[in-house]
Amino acid sequence: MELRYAPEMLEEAVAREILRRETAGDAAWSRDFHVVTDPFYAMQETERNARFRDANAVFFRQLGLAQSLEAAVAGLPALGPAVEELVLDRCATATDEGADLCVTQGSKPHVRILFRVHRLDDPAALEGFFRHELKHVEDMLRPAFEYRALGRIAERPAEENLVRARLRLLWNLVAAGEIARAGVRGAATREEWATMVTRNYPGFPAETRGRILARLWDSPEITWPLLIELSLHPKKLLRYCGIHEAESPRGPGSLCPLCSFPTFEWHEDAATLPVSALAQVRADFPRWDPADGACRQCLDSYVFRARFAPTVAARPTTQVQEGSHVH
Amino acid sequence: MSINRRDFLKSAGFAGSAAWLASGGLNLSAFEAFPDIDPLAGYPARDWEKVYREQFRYDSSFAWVCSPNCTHACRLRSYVRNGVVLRSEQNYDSGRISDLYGNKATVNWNPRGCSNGFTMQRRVYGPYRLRYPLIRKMWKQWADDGFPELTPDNHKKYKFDSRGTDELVKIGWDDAFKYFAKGLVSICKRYSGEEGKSKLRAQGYAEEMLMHHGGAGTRVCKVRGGMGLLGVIGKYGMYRFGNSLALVDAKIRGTGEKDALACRTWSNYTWHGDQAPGQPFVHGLQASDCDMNDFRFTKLHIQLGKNLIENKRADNHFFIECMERGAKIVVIAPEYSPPATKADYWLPIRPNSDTALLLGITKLMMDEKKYDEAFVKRFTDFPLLVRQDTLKRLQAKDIVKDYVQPDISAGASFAKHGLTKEQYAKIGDYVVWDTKANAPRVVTRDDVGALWDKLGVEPALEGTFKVKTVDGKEVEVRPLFDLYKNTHLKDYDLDTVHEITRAPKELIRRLTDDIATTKPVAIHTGEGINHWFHATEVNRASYLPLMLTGNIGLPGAGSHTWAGNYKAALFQGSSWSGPGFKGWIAEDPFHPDMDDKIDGKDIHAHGYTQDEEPAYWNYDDKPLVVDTPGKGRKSFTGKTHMPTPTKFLWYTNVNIFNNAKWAYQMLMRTNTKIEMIVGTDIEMNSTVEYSDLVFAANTWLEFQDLEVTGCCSNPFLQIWKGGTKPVYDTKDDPMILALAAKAVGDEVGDQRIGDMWKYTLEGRNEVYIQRLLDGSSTARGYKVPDIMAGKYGEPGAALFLFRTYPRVPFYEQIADSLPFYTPTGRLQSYNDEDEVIEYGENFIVHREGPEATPYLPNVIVSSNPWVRPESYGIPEDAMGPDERQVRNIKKPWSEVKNTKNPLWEAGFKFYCITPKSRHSTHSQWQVTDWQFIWNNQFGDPYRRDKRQPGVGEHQLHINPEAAKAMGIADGDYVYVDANPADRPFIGWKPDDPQYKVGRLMLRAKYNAAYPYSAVMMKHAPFIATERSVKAHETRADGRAQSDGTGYQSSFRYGSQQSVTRGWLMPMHQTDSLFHKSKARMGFMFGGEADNHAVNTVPKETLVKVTKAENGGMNGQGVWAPAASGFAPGGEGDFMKKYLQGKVTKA
Repeated sequence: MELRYAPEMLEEAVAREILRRETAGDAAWSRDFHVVTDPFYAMQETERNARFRDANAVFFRQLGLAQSLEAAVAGLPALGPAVEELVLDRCATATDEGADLCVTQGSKPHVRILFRVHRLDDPAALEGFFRHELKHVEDMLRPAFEYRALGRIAERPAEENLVRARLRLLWNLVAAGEIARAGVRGAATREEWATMVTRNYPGFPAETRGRILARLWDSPEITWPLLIELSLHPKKLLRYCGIHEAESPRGPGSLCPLCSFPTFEWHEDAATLPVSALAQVRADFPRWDPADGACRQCLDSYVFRARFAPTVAARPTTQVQEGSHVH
Repeated sequence: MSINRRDFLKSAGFAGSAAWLASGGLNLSAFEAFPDIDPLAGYPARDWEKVYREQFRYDSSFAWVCSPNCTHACRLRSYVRNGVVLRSEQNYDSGRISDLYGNKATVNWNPRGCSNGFTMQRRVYGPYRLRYPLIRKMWKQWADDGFPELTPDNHKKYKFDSRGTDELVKIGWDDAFKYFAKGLVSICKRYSGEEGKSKLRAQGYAEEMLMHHGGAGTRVCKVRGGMGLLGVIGKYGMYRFGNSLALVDAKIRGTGEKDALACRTWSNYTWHGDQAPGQPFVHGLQASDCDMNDFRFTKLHIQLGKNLIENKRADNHFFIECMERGAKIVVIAPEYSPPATKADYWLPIRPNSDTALLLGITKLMMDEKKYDEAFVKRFTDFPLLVRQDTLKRLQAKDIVKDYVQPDISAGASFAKHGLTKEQYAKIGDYVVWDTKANAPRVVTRDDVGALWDKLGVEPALEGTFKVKTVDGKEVEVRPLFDLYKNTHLKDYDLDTVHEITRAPKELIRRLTDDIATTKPVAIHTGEGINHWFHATEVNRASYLPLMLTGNIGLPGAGSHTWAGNYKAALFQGSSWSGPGFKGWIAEDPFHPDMDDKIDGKDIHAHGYTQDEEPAYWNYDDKPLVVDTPGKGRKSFTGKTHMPTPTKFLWYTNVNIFNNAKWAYQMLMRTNTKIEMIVGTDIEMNSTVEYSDLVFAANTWLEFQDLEVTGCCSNPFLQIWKGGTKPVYDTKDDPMILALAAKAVGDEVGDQRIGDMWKYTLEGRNEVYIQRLLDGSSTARGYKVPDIMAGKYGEPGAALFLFRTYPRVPFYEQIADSLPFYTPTGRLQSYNDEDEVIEYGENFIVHREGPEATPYLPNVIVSSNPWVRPESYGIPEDAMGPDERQVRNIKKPWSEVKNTKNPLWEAGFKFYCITPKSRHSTHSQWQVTDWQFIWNNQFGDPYRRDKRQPGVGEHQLHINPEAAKAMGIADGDYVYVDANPADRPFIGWKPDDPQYKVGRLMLRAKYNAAYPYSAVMMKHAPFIATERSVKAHETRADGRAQSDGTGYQSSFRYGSQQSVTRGWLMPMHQTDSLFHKSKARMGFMFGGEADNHAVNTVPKETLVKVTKAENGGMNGQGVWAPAASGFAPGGEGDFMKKYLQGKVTKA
């Protein structure tokens, strides 16, 4: 496996590290960088760019910036032979960070890891991040994991985003658990992962969330299709975690079974609706049961239609005197 | 790791550097000069700088009028290069423009123009233009199949029940007009005669709706040219076309011209809710609006539900100039609005309770004798006597046997205002109690001002008197002043008013004192008032303090309102000038005047149309007819307002479905009954998406022939033509009308229909414009060639011939002692029409709304025994919408405050305010890219959050504490729901795909300016449609841009019209209100579109807000700016310090 570094990443990383050292009192690296690179400005553009690329690559290594990735790769010996090249590149936002796998016919896969350059400030944490991302890559390459590229998995963009976020989280928990068992540092601590579980499943009680974390932490055998299922269906996730449905109310943001809108406002108890309203709901939705619940808006509509219906209404026809009014 | 630098550099392998090193080490080696190079020896090529310097070069420029419905009609200048408009700027011409007599406008009107006009070219060349005519695929199929009867199966087959899922396909102009004519004539034939009426009955229309059918199928056709004044020839021309349909009816039914009937013409002003509907009750005029430069003269400027910062941008600087002239500014609004930031004080108030405030102020003024007694006696109805038994004003004929009205034919009522003998006989003469004679004294409507003084009468303002009527009864009578002061206003003491309105007592007191001690005082009423069910009462009440203090008819004084550019009355007809505006829209189609030299005064006008309020279409195409328990079947829609069923609709220049209250009811239910919907527009919008046939029009810059406009807020008469060729296969509005008319004429075999447009077809609209000017009292004397040549200072512009500049409403009433346009000739605090008495609104009284209230819906707050409302036996707990609107129950506040609105109790606890945005003009410019980015806090040209419908999206302003209490973070997506019984449309089911389209979801935006129980969404964004929702849910990028039509929605789902509905205010539908006709010097009783008609009320709603999704990027966590520490409701320590002024220390 060849390790490559994107030129823009190198440039930013080197410049940042040299500045950091200079600010801390060591200006020597800055001087040396200028000694080496100032002459490049007299060159033609094409040659100049190439020279900068080479210079940054050397400085990157000499400054010790490559160590984090190399250590992470070293911890996954099976990865090297399976991958053609691993490219490290920069990105701007946290949501863009992560590993991508590119598979082309006739060659081994290519891996690209995007990260925010400022992470280089904390090499140990960065190593943990790389280790975590490479764990995902390892999963993707493992036939037993049954990884497939994702198309749209949910019915609407809102749901899509929610489901993808949960998918990422659940997979992260699996990877984090494996790394933790290996006794090395991962991308985040278990407490930090617990916070993310809370963020994605805020409606579940703390105990339920703890059990989700624990179960996924210890699921090295899990497959990609199963992860997708668990992300799409909170009920299945609860069952996978050995949690009886009644122990956990519906998650906020879950879909109403009647209107399919995600809702944060479930009706407290559908069984307490007026009898006539309940009958009307059942007539419209024969397979629905009050125990399934529904959003307040849906169930209220049945009650309100009766409450705000006209008690008196005009008949459409009667004898009236005709006349026409012309201006 | 420690590395020796020299070793490193040696090992780095840089040949060049090594050479440098080898030559003498590091010291200064990098700083040696390059020998043999003189940097000044050569000069780099700089010809590229020409491109930079000439980037603003232009080949030509032209002036045009930006004419959306903002009421300004700013003249802009566009700069063209290589045939492309690069930019537009203000024309800076105001100070040059003059009138026939040499009077010039003040240069202070300059600069005029705003960011909308400056970006018009982005719309001209933008992606949403209509580039050619369009036809709905299955409507075309229906036409090709011979317009078969729309049985339930055919209805479905031809997608009349699902226009939003059909396709719009390109069609050539000739074919478009052919289909238009065939469709129109087919519908007219189908619904003509008794057979036609039977069909309508069978379809379930109320029998009352056939009252004005007259056997004519044309009467199910509706046309709307909107806002007509924005382009009198092309927009108001729609009514001219409508009038010519009398020829179609004559052909179909074989009638003569005497019995022929044309179509119904839909209103604009009242449909928008733009009128202050109570104003005709007070003074008889359509609306009191001054030219905006009149603001400078006021010394107390009060904005009542008005936002003159975000709106009226071109000319709102005039109110700021008040400050320079020592005026006070007071703002009355529920929220701390942008104008409130400029005010001396802001009076916060519970929404929809302003009547109580104004009555409270009136009470203080009366009790403390802070009024101008002379003005009250000379110009108001306060001295007039009212009968205790009938609640009618005491009339002369009541007490004088064989009373004969005096001959006042030489007076202003007849000679100037066009009163007829019949009308005079009907309105009668009135009575005051003369304290000098200690007897009743008859007065006529002409007896005002100086003429009143001549009578030498000293009327009583207070007291109870007895009179003997001609039929022998002894009746108690009292002057209105006494009735208000000593009876009616007892319910509006300061403590009670404070409870009703939540307005601070000290500010109510302060405002009272300011009004009483300042002159001139002006109150400017906005749609923050007019868009509520009981706006009538607020409008009437706003006059009371001004009537008491004589703040009427003076520069800087009055109670004014403008929203849209409605004022057809600018082209006022009169006996001495001619038919005015009516000569254009109602020229007799049976006898069109074909002489291009004819004086407009001589145009023969005959109206065959009948106006109609679209509010009935908006009520599911029904009038307000209720089977009441107590009085049986009753129509609250007066005969003079009664609609006919709608089977054909042609609109121009109005995004009517998008901006309709109850929009999804219209689209999913009501419009399914319309057989042909035709539109004329410049851009793709939701109305176009739901139309059957669409004509693509030229923009203002592309007009090929002359057009004319005027404004209700300034004196400029403007004529213009575009300066650039049409970019696409589009036509001018008049040309579309002309060619459509010609096609209809060909279809029925009557050339006269096309002849009505002879001069348009010849490219000579100036002939029609000249006739319009000739026939109008405000423009007679001007010649179009003179105006275009710049004789009046600027080519294309002149001043309307107003009595004063600025135009001051009722100047003549006060300065010249002319009567007002009411039955009494006086400003009225009281109305005694039968309907008004029945509804309990004879006195100006505070009422809670039929929906937007925490209390008993529609209750009248009064204990006045002279208020005797009819409840029709409808019980208090009846909550159907019809019942709530018509039930009249009176209670004192002490009882009202303990009542409850079940909707409020069920959690619908937010008032929902929908004002206009500064970044658009109604729905125009809503999705023009930069406006779309700027008009909300979520503008992002990159759409990084793929949930966003476009480069911006709509938002709900909500009080931060209210939002937090519901678990809603700043930037979260929320649902906003109104009464689910009928919103977003009647009969929705949870799994109905159309419900998904109509349920409103948008971003929440914390805004501490709003009170806890009020949320706000700006008006007229582009609504979600079936196609846009499908796009949002299926496109990879999530953008809500319809496939096929390219329509861009401002929403992911729903719109602000998801929470509104149609209402039909009984007070707006009387047959008996006497008032001035809007476009001529004359009077009428009852309904007239845009004048006395249902003025729609989108704010009459209550909503609930619930969280839908997290606001953070792609649904994760919190929206980033909300967590920055700088956003309202989420201030970090630094921001708190900053707000407290503690960041900078001196």
